[in-house]
Amino acid sequence: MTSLSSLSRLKLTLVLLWLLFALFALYTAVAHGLIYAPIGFVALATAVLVVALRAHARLSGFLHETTEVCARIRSGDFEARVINLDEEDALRQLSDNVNGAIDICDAFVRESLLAMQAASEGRYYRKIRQEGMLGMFSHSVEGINRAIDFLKEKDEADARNKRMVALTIERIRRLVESASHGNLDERIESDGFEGEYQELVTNMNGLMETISDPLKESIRVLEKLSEGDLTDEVRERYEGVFDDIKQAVNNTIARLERIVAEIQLASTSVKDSADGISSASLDLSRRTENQSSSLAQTASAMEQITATVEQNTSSARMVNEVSLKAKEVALQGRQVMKEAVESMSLISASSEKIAHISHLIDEIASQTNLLAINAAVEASRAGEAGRGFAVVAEEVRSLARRSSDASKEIRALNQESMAQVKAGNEHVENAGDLLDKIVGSVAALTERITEITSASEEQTIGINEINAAIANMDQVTQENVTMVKQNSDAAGSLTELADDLNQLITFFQLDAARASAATA
Amino acid sequence: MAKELYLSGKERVMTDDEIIVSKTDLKGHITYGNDVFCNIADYSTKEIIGAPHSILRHPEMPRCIFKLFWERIESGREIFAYVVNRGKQGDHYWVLAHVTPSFDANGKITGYHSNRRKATNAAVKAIKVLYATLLAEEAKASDRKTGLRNSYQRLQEILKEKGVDYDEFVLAL
Repeated sequence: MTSLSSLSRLKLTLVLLWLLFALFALYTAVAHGLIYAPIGFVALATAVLVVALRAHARLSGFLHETTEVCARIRSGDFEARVINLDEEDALRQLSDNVNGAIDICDAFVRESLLAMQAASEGRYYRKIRQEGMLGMFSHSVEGINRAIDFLKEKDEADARNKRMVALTIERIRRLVESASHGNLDERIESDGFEGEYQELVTNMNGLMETISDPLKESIRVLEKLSEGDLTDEVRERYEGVFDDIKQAVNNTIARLERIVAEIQLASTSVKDSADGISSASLDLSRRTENQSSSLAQTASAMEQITATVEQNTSSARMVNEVSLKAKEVALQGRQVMKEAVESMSLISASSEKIAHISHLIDEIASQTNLLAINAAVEASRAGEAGRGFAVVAEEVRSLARRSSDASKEIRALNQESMAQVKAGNEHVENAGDLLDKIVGSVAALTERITEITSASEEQTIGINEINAAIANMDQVTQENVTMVKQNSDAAGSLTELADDLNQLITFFQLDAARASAATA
Repeated sequence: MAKELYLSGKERVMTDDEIIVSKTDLKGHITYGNDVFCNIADYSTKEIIGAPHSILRHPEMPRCIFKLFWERIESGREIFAYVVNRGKQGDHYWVLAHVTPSFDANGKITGYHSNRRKATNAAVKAIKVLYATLLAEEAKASDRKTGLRNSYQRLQEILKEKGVDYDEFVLAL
C-alpha cells in the first residue's frame, strides 16, 4: 500500500510539475511575448509527462497483479501466477522469481499432499521426488519421505503382525477344532512364524504333547487291558490332572488284577463246591427216588388196609344195624309177648266169661228146653192149632238142645282154650324170658359192634390221616425229586459257570509277582 | 503426426534443482509456463500462453502414454511419466513429468498442473526400450485408432507381466 500511495503521490507530483511548467510557459509567453519557446517547453513537458505516466501505469499494474497473486498465495491458492508477457527486464526477472517461489511452494504442497494421500492408501512407493527441491523444501521432503518409509515399515510390520495373528489364529483354530474332534496328533508347522508367535505356536504344540502323551499312554495300557493284559501300566511322569489320569488307570488295573486273582480263586472254589453239590445231589436224587418208590408201595399197602378197614367198618355197621334190628325185633317180640300175655289174660277172662255165658246159655237152653217141652205139651193139647206151634216148640227144643250142645262144646273148647291159654302163657313167659335174654345179648352185641364200628372209624380216620401223610410225603418227595433235580441241574450249571468263569478269567494275563502279592 | 517435424537431434539437459512448471486449462491449452520451461523449449511466454501443450510433443513419444495421461488426470488422479519433449528449435529434452489436476473449492477440476524434473540417464535408457516397443505397436497398425488401442493394450500386458502397476513401475525406474 505504501508503494501504491507513493506511486499516486508521484503521479500527482508529475501532474503538478506539468501544470507548473504550463503556467511558467504561459507567463513567459504573456510577459515576454514569446510564442515558440513556451510551446516547445509545454510539448516537451507533456511528452515527459506521458512517458512518466505510462511507466507509472505499468509499474502500478505489475505491483497490483503481484500483490493480488501474493494475496491469493497467502489464502492458499497456489494456482495464482504473475503472468508477465514482457521481455527480459527487471520486472520480468521479479515476476519470474515470484512465480518460481510460488512454483516450488505449489510443487511441494502438491507433492506432499499426493504423497501423503498415496501413503494413506498404502502406496508407499509414491514418495516425493527430491529433484528441484532445495533448502528447507529438500529437508521437508526428506522428512516426509522418512515418515512415509516409517509408515511403510510400520504398515508392513502391522500387516506382518496381522498375517501372523491371522495365521496363528487360523492354525490354532484348526488345532483346537481337530483336538475338539479328538485328534490330538495335529501340530502347527512352526514355519512362517516369528518371535512371540513362534513361541506361542511352540507352546501350543507343547500343550498338545502334554495332553496327548498321557492319553496315548493310557490308551495303550487300556487297549492291552481290553485284550486281558494286566501286566502293563502308565509309567511316564505326568503332572496335575494327567497324573490323576495315570493314577486312575494304574489303580484300576491294580484293583482289577486283585479282583481277577480273587475271582480265579473263588471260581476254583465254586467249581469244587459245585462238583460236591452235584455229586451229593445225584446221591440224594437216587435216595429220594428210592424213598418215593417205598412211599408208593406203602401207599398201595395202606390202600389195601384202608379197603379192609372200610369193609370191616361197613360190616360192623351192617352187623350193628342187624343187631339193632334184632334187638328191636326182640323188644317188639317182648312187647308182643306182653301183649300176648295180656291178650291171653283177656282171653282167660273172656273164657271165664264165655264159661259163665255158656253156663248161662246152658241154663237158658235147659230153660228153653223146658219151656219148649211145656210149649210142646201145650201145643199138643192145643191140637191142630198147636201143631205149628208144636213144630216151633220142637224146633226151639231142638235149638235149645243144640244150644246146650253148643254151649257144652263151647265150654269144652273154652276149657281147652283156657288150658291152652294157660300153657300159652307159660310159653309166652318162657319166650319172654328168652327174648329178654336175646335183647340183653343183642344189646351186648350191639355195644361190642358199636365199639368195633367206632374203633374201625377211628382206624379209618387214622388210616386216612396216614394216607394224607403218605400223600403229603409223596408230594414232598416228588417235590424233593424235582428240587433235587433242579439242584442237580443248578449244580451242573454252576460247575459249567465256574468252568466258564475260570476260562474267562484265564483271559487276563496277570503280573505273576503282583498277583500273588495281591491275593496273599 | 501428419506433418514431419524438424528434429535437431540436440539434447537439452536440465539441472538437478530445476523444475519445469506449466499449467493448462481443461482442454490442454497452456495458461502458465515458468522461466525454466521457456528457456529449455526456446519459447517466449507470449508464444506459449494459450498454445496447446501438444506443441511440445516429440514423435518418439508413444501416443498411448498421453492416452494414459488424460485418463488419469481427467479422473482426478496424478500421473508420473518419462517424457521426451521437443523445443521450438527441434531440440529435445527428457523429463520426469508429474501431472496433477487442480481443483476449486468444490473439488471440481479447474485445470492441470505439470511439474517436470530431470530424468536420470538410467531411467531414460530403460523407458526408451518400452517406448520403442509401444511405438512399433502403433506404427504397424493400419490406422491410428487401432495403433493406439494396440499399444495401450501392450502397455497393460507388459505391466501385468512385471506384476506392478504403472506408477510403481515408473517411480522405480
